[in-house]
Amino acid sequence: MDALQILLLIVTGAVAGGIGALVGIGGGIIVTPVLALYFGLPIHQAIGVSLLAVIATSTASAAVNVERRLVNVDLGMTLELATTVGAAGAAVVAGFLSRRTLAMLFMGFLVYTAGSMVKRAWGARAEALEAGTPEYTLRNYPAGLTASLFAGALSGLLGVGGGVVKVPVMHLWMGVPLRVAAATSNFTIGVTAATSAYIYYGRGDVNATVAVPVVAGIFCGALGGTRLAPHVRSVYVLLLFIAAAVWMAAQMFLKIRAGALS
Amino acid sequence: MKKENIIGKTLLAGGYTSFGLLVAAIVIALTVDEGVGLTVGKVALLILMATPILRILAALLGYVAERNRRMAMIAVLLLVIIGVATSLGMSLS
Repeated sequence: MDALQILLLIVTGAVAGGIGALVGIGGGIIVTPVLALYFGLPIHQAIGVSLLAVIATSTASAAVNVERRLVNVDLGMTLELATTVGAAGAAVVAGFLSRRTLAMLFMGFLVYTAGSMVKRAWGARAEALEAGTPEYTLRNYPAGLTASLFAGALSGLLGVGGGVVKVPVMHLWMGVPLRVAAATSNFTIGVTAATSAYIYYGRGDVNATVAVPVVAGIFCGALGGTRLAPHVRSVYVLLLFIAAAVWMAAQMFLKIRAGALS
Repeated sequence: MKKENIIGKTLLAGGYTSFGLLVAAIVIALTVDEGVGLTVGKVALLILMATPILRILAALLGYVAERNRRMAMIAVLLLVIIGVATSLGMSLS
């Protein structure tokens, strides 16, 4: 691998990690399609690298958020009982799916995420920068655990964090304030992604040559993004993310139709 | 020490060790030898993959210190689930 390619992979990681930290997603949703579309990596390997990127994002942001008391550790660890089961099951299933099927599932996930971010951007257009967190009482653990099982499965199947599923459920059904829900979700995705990462690693789907520069970039982006987050209006980053997600979904669609991912 | 601090420090240690080694791996691969760089990089990735498990152990330590029996049991159960799920998953795929 030459120096230019290493540099491009570092940049990919840094952008994914930065946007991930600012928007509150794992960054996997950017890493997987970029590696599959623009670096020609087989999608199973793209997902394997992406899982490591998710662990790195979670580690970097949780290291800060846990000590700031933004993460509800008890809740996070309880939900991990379900996310890990979903992740392991889906990681096994992914091994049996064709590239085409995985690419189509991923495309659907990109479109869904872009859609849910449009809703959030609309809600956030006039938002003030958030300060403290209100008091809250937890309710409806069964709903949280069910959503976590599903989020874990998404993670193991597509190499993403699954926060798009977990955060709204924690917020709307379990009564967790949005900021705490996002931080707690980010905390849990490290353990979740690690569980499926072991299975991908055992199968030989973690390409270290690609993972090393991408994860190094993720750390840079995540650290920078976490620092910047309190000073940035999230609506602009959201719009940037939505545009990128729609663009990559379209590109994936064209590649699937052309048979390039089968 | 509070469990939040134990967990935070563990994550910080795992993250920075892995990050430092990744940077070293890239520098070595570009200047000295690609093979040696890749080996260092693989060690960094393994440390990264181990960090979430260390984080659960850190939380378990915190719960035991707090005498929070219920959450300590959840932490142990989580380790068992991950162990069983990954070994089962590896044998299936």
